[in-house]
Amino acid sequence: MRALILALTLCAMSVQSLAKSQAEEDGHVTLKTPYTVGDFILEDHNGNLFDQDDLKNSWSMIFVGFTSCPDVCPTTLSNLEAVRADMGLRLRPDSIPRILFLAVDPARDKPVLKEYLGYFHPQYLGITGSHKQLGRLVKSLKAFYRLDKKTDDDVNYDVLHTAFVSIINPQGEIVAKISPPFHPHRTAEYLTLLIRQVSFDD
Amino acid sequence: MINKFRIRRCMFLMIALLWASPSIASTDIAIEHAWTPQGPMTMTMHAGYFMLTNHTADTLELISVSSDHYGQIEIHKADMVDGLSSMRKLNKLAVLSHEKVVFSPGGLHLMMRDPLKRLQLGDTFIVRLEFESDIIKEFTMHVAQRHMQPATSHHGHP
Repeated sequence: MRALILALTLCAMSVQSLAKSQAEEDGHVTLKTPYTVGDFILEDHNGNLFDQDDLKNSWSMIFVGFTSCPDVCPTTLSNLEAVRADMGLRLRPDSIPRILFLAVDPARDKPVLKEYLGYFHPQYLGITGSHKQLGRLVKSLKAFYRLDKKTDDDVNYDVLHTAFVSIINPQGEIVAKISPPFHPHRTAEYLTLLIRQVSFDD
Repeated sequence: MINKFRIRRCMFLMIALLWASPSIASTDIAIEHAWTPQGPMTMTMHAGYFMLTNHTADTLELISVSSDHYGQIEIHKADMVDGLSSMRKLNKLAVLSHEKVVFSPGGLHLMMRDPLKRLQLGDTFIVRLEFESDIIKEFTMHVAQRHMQPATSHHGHP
């Protein structure tokens, strides 16, 4: 009997270890010490104020991007929707993280944000605001962005930005980060385990 | 005698001209799965994806891309350095002999700016690749859903 328990324990440890190494390989990082997002005041794409308290009561995935981005941002938004679809087979609908698109190029983003996100999914929520307030949330996320304008009147500029997605729990704490390429099945598997409170770091 | 000399000289010149002109047929450059994702109507910059195979014995240098449907097309590469995503414009792209170069989401892609009309799902348009030595390759690009790529190959119109 003892041998059986030992074998089962070793087997469970081995599965957990494999899952952890797969998560690391996929660029998924569970934070050992979750931390609360600091204060900020932004606006969602419907014109409502959006602050740190609006991050509570549901799981969220926040992605830093801009609407003029032709390749990386639309690819990420589509991949995240594929992840959410996969999670729909594993979790109750109210446990599936919503997508928050932090639009960091407000001059170009704000007028089109609602229509842009509506194309990907009607429930995606865009948030934007002044660079000062964007900076506060970006700093909390330990993310980065920079408008890469060549001249003051440059209208076709690129925006450098971090590509990871922050995972926020219903207490408004950042608990994990996931990075491209966001393999739908494996990312959904990782997030499902995370949401079910199975920590690979325990 | 003079006429014979002129004819020989003329033939020599013709052979030399033929030798100097591009001997690469359009079919030596294969384009497959050319598509652009249907995107939000608000977007004025679109990405173009395809696979390019150089079936010739020489390296080809892609120096320009154009289309009647876009004001400007550039070759871009999405770079991920230290977790930061950025775009890099390539002024030219070398395609080695028998190499297959893949333009795909999150990597190498065409950055197509200022569409002249709104493209709908299923629409097609011609894209023109210009290589060094005046080699031109045209192909048809399809507007497709982002998660779906056209299953068939779309070779160009020589």
